[in-house]
Amino acid sequence: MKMLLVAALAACGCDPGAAVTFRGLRNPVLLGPRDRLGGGARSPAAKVASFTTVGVRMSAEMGDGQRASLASPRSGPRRDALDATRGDPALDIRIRELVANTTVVGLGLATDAEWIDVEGDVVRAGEQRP
Amino acid sequence: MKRALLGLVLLAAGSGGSRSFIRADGADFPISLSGGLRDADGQLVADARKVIVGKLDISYKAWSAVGWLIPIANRERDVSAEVNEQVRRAGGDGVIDVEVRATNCLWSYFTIFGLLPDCSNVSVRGTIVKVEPPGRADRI
Repeated sequence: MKMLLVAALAACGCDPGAAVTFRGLRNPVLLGPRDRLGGGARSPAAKVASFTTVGVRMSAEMGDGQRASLASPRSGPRRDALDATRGDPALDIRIRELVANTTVVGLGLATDAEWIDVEGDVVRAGEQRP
Repeated sequence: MKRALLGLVLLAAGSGGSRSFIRADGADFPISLSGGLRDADGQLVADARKVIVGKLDISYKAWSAVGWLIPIANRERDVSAEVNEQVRRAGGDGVIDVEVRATNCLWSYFTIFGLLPDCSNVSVRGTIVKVEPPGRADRI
């Protein structure tokens, strides 16, 4: 029954899932080989640091008919990227791995979770303004 | 190895699930999950030069079986072809503010503790922009 209720929530689109975006950040956070406008392969760039972040949402049946939900703040990945780039406009984040994960745990717990893993490198890519 | 172990643990817990590695190895345009883009000379492009010309919208399902152990469809998904086609159609130069989202499928709740194949909904959405030539005062 619990699973049916959770499934009904999913079916109605009430489950927002987990999301990752870096909207509002000025430093590029790049997926793929193009690091600038105008085509061409990636320019060589010195790695400054590694970068990881995650966007997660999970919910669980608490046993009293109540569901508890937990979600990372939408601004979490952007804050992690801000910490990694320290406001330096010459730094980019190049994503090495971007993984969308979902799981549903049975055994009467009716627990479900989604999370997006991001792994990458912080690189010094941009030219400094003279 | 760690992932296989995690898959076994999830299966032991009576669970299903799916995962998808998103790539864009063949993209002809810069794809940024932030609002940042660099010009050909490496300078950040000022917001005033970015003109929105369309929306990137890619959605698909990723399927796995036995927890995450057996990938069935879209374990690795290269979205380059869709990105290139949608950006070209919109007359854009790149994509910004990309958001990646994952949700469980409705089917995920009926996989008999992960024994039947399981799926997830994955979306990759963003804003396609055309970048105007630089003016005098719009370099950051």
